[in-house]
Amino acid sequence: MEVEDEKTQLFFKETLPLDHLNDSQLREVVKISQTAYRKRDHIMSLKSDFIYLIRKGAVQISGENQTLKELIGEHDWFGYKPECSLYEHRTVEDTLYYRIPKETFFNLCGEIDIIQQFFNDRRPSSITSSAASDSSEIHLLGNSVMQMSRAIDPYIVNDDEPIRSVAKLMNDKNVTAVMITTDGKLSGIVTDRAFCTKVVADQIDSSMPISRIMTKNPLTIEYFKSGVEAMLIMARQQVRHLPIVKKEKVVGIITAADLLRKQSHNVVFLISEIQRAENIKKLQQISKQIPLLLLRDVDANMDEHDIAYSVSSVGRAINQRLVKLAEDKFGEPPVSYAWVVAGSLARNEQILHSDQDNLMILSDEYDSKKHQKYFKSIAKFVNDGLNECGYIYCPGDVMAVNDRWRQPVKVWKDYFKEWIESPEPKALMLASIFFDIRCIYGDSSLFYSLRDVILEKTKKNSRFQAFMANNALMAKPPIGFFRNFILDASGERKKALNLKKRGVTPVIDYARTYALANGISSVNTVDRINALVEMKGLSKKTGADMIDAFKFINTVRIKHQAKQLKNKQEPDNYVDPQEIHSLDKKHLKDAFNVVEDGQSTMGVHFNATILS
Amino acid sequence: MIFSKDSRLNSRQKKLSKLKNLPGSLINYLSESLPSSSDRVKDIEFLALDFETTGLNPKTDRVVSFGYTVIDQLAILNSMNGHYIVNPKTELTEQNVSIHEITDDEVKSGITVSQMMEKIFELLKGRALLVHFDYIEKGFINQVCQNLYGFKDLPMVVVDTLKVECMKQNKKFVHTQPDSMRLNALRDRYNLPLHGAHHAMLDAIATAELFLAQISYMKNPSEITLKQVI
Repeated sequence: MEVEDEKTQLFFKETLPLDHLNDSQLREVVKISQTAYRKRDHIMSLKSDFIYLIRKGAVQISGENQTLKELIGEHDWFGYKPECSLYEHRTVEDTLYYRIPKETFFNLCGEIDIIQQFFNDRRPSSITSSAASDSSEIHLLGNSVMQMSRAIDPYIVNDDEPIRSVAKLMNDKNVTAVMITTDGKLSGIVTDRAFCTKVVADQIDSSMPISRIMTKNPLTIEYFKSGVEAMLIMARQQVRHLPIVKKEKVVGIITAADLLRKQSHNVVFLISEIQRAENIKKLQQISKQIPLLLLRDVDANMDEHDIAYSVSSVGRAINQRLVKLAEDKFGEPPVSYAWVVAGSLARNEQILHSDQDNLMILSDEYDSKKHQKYFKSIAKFVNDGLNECGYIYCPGDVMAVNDRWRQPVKVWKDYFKEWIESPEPKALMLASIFFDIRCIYGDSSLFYSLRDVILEKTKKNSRFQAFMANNALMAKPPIGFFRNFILDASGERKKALNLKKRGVTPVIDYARTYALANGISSVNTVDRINALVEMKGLSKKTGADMIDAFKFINTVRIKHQAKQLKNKQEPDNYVDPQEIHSLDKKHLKDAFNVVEDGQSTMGVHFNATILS
Repeated sequence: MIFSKDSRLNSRQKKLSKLKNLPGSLINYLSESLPSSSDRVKDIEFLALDFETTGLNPKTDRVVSFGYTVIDQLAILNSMNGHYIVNPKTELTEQNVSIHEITDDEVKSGITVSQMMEKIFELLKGRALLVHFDYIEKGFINQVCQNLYGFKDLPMVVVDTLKVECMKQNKKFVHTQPDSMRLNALRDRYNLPLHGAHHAMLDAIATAELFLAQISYMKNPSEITLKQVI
């Protein structure tokens, strides 16, 4: 009686892309494999008719002049790229590895596309992007800000320096900002803009000390942070210069221009391009860069939260620019209004494949006879423009061009009064999108006055809360999915898992329900959960678990979309379980369990079950 | 002088092959020349072999299973991995069931001892035997030869990874196995993955991997000759 070498087979099964093989194919691969060993510091001689897989240990791959290309370990392959014969492969640990005859291997599993693709077009592993000294832009942005810092001298002046001489210095050295120190410590920053807005506009005497016009306590970034992080601070806080500090001492400065030179698809760059775009056509061109932005962010191993934030920032900028272009075209608004986005963009959770959701809140001075034409034109212009930029018309018609969603504050208040005080399950389900809203242009006081009324009502109305909770329980995480393959039969691809509907949405709904019941004004899901934990509406542990689960599910989803983009496919939310790595599957299972636990607690909490 | 051992093996092979009533596989084995001590390790094929037994005494205990793999050109050929259950015609005690995880039923379905020997002769033909702590495998093979064919001391070339390690560490080889010399302890020293012991085939593979590691740690691995490891 013979038995198989189950351990080797299991190791192979847990190695990408062999997880796509069935058991009998795996058995065959084990059979054709050979095992070999090299002690550390051995330079390997590779045979071109083999591919290699590390069982244990580590191998360093370097090119000419010892430039490190890759450092690989357990479960990693080598020796399959055509150019690898040019590189030195050195064991940096004692290494046990398998070698597999190429031809036999590809004959065995060659018809499986994923395996072909894996060995034909392999992106560097995560360990690579941090270790490699490859000169590509991604890696540069992954470098610390200190490495990108400019020479610091022209940028530092004392706080008692007269305004006039600072202006001269900046002009001479051709710099756009200086950092001001008081007793050697950073106390402020002055950009060239300050000379217009303060010195000239406010008529400040230019012999006064520079401290008069400086921005006090400027934002800073720590010296070990990456260029990506600097970019995000700049994008969020709308600044273009960041002093670099080390233990409270200024050690450098990084500017948006420095970062721009490193990368042309980054969020700061795209937003500044959007702000300068003169027509829809230009915006349309720029919006084509969004997938690239996502790919870069994924390659740079950015956190999913930051990726969604940067994609949302671009979406927001396009909205804003379109409204501005509309105003340029149709003239100044006759009464004030607020342009409000809803859904994922409002939550700053937009990734790819989004439709548009927006509405207008008009001042109560609005007179439909006189003003309707103007606002409808604005709305139509923006909605059409968004559609052209790839934010397709909302299938549910939640768009400002729809008369119903372009109303004065008082009408909006009535809508919400109806939804909250006499909820109808179906109507409320459709309306749930209106509970994630953010004003991004115009008179935000209109928006805030509405929002405060909404939260006041949702906090008090337990019947409404129960309805919301009940809605939130409609989408169940697919517990047992990987065991039973209970699939989402409604989806276009029946063998795939809808990670948005069954993974992300349940958490969003959960956070919304709790946030509204507690009068929390945050809209972002993670912010909402954090706010809940802070006011003790959720335990620290539950909050942290929910956030982890949410982030993990979203990460898998974003990676899936990035992969589709790479393969020139239309990105979607349907993830084939086969494409998920076995370890990720386990984590996904855990994440779904956390979400389910959260849901059942919520059900009890809001008495939601009585409605179902 | 250095060839004396080789020639001794050779002449013994010839002598034994004249015995009557030997199975064909044994005659074949005896007719094929064994690796000689001046051969380079890299050019020798090794049969890594492991027995699971009911105890340590070849006279009173029995082999319950054996597993093996083959090393060629200093690489393990996983196509050659194999494992057989042997029917010892004796009851298993509860103690050794728990060590080897082979149940009585499984043992009953196994091959006979003489079938086992024929399999081993086939596999070992022209190859060196590779084991960890040769006391067991050598002892049992010789005892079975005595029982079945009436001779002791089957001519074979045996490499023992435990002895190799002792030589490397300049330690005197002893006929017991200290904990520090157990397979897993040695594997760990060479950064080899931990392995759940006591499955004959996995143990044979584990021994083979250890041997590759030991060779890799010697000076000029590809020039090492057999006599340097026995």
